[in-house]
Amino acid sequence: MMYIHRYNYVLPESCPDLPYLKLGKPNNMDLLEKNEMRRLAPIILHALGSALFTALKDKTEIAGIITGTGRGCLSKLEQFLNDMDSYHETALNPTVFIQATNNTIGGLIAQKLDTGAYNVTFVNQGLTVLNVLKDSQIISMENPEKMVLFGFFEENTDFNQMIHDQSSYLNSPDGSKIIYGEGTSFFLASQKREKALAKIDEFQLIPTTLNFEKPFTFEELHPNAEIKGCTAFYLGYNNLFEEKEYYHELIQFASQKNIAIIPFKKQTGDFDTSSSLALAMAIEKLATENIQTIYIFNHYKRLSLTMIKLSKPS
Amino acid sequence: MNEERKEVWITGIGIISAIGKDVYSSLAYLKSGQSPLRPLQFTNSIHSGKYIGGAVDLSEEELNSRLKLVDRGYNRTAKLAIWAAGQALEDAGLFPALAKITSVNATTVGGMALTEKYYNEIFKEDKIVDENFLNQMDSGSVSRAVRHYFNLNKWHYHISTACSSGANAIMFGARLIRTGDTQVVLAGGSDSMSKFVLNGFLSLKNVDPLLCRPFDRDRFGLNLGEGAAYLVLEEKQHAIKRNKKPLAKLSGYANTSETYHITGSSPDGKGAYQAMSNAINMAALKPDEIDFVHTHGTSTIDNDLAESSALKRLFGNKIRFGSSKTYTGHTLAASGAISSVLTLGMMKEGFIFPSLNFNNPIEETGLIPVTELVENPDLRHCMVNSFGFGGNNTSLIYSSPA
Repeated sequence: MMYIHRYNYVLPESCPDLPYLKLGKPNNMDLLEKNEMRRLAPIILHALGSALFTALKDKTEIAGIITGTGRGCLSKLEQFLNDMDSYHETALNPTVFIQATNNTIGGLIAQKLDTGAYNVTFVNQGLTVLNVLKDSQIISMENPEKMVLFGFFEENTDFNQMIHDQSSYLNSPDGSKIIYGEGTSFFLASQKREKALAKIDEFQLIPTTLNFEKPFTFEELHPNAEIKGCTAFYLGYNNLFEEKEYYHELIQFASQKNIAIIPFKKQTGDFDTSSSLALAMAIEKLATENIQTIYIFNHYKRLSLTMIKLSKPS
Repeated sequence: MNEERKEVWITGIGIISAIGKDVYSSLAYLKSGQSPLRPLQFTNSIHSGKYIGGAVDLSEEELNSRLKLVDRGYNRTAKLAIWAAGQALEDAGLFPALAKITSVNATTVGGMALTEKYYNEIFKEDKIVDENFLNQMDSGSVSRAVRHYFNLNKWHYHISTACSSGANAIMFGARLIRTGDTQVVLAGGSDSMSKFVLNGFLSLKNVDPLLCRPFDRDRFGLNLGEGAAYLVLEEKQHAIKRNKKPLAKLSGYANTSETYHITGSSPDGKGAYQAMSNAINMAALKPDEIDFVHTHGTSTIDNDLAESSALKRLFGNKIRFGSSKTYTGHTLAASGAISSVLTLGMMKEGFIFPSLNFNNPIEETGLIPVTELVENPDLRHCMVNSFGFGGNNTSLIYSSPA
C-alpha cells in the first residue's frame, strides 16, 4: 500500500506519418539546462522533465528513486549501432552510448535532485511496472517518514515497430494490428495519508491459468472482491480482437454493475509499461472525479496479466 | 511491516566466467595467480583480436547442448545465466526448483549480441528474421528465460543499473526476504560479449588493450569479460527447517547515488564511501572488522582512484583488498554477483587470491592490494563492492555463519 501525493505524465499523440503514437515536444524544459536540452534524447528529456516536475514542488526528503522501462532509450541505442556501421567503429560519441544505458535517467534525476538515495532501474518487459511498484512499496515501508519517487519511460522507434510487425507475439491472432505507443510518468509516494491524491491498495500478477483462451471474469481476476461505490475499470485492450477475446466478460460485468470502462490504450498505445500511464490517468480521475475505486487490468503479449487497484484516500 | 527483520542466508552459489565453468574450477584458477584473458574475437569488427578480455570458451552450440535447450528462445546472456543459476539451485539442494522461488536477475546488454547481428538485416534490408530471435533482444528476455527454464515463480524481477546490476539484484533479493515477501530468492547477474559494449567503452577511452592494472599508478583502463553468477538467498528459518547449512549470511548492504557525473566517479569516492559505510552500519560492524574487500577495481583511472580514496578514508592503510578483474575481465552486470560468489568461495576454502599486474600504488592513496596468495586467513566479514554508470554504488557484506 502506498499513498500518491504528486504525479506527472505525458501521453503520446497520433502522427499522420507514423503507424504508432508518438510523444510530442518535451514539457517542463524550464527545469533543465540548455546543454541538456541539446544533447539528451527526447525520451530522456520527457522523463527528466516529468520526474523533476513531480519531485521538486515540495522539498521533501527522498528515500529512493526507482525507474522502470521495458526497452530503454532505443533511439540512442540505434544511433550508436548506426554510428558503428557508418563510421566503421571509429570516432564514436560516448554521450550516445551512455544515453542508451537503462539507468541513465535514474542517475540524472539523482544528480538534478542532488540526492544520494537508493537508485535502481527495473527493465523487465510486461512485469516492469509491478517490479517498480514492489520496490517502491518496500522502500516506502522501510522509510515511512520519507517520499519515494518512482516512474517509467518508454520509447518506440521505427526499428522497434518493425520487430513488432514481424512478431506474432505482438499482433493479434486474427491478424489485427496493435497500435503501439510510448510515454512517461512519475509519482511521488509515501505511507502518509495526509494530503494524498490516491492510494495504491494492491497490485498483482494474475495467475495465468487463464491462458488467454477465453475472456477473463472479474471473479477470476480478483476473487472474492466486492464492488463498492463508484468504480471504474481501466482495461488494456487495443483492438476489437482483444476486446472480444480477452475483456468481453469484464465489459459485460461492468455494464451490469454500472462500472465505467476506460480502454486506456486508445490514448497510450501499447508498450511494455503502458499500465504506468493508466496508473497516472487513474490517479487523476480519483483526484478530480467522484470515483471511489479503480481497477487497472492489463495483459502483456498473451504472456502475463496484471492488476492494480487504487482508491480515493479515506 | 515486521520490525523483527529476517536473516538472509546464502545457501547456494553458481558461476561461469573466463576462469571456470563452476565454483570449484573458478576458485582453483583464482589461486593460480595466472590471468586467462586473451584477445577477443568478433565477427566483422575492426577491433577483433586487438583487445584482450575474458570470454567463456563455450560456443552457442555447446551451450545449447549442455543445457539441453531444444528451442531457440534464449540469447547467450540468458544461457550463461541459466548455467550459473542451475549450479546455485543444485548447490542449495533446490533442484529441480520449486515454483515458489523468486528470481531476481540482472543484465546490462541482454540480447545485444543478437540486436547488433540482426539490426541491419531487419531495418536496412527489410528482411524477415526468425521470431525466436525477435523476442530475446531486450534485457528482460533474460529474466523471462531463467524463470521459464527452471519453472520458477512467475513474478520475477530484472534490474539494470549498468555494472552494479548484479549486486543490486542480490540486495533487492535480500530485501524481499527481509520484508517477508518471500523465503527463497535466486539472485544474480549475467552479461555476454558484444561489439556494442566494446565500442561503447572504447568511445569512453577506458579500455586497456593489454592486461589491466587494478589500483596501479599506471593503470589505463579495463578489460571486458562475460559470465554469470547466481546466489540462492534463503530466509534463515526456512533453511534451518530443511537442515541446510549456510555458506554465509548477507549481513549488510547499501546502494547510493553519487550525483557527481553520469559516468565518472568523484576523485574522493564519496558515493563508494557512503555505500561501504552504510553497509557496515547495517551489519552493525566497525570498519576494522572487515577482513577483506573484494573491490569493483575495474582498473579505469576514475574508478580506482575513487574506490581507493574511499577505502583509505573508511579503513585507513591496513585494509586487505583486491580486484579479480585481471582474472574474469569486467563482466558488467555479472561482476557484483561474480565477485560475491568468488568471495563466498574464498571464505569457505580459506584463502585470499593474489591481485595481478600491480606494480606501484596510486600516488594519492598509497594503498596496495593483496598481491600474493594468502592461505588460511580468518575471513569472518568480507565486503564486495560493485559500482556502475549513473553514479550507482553498491556494497554487500558477507559474514561467516555464527
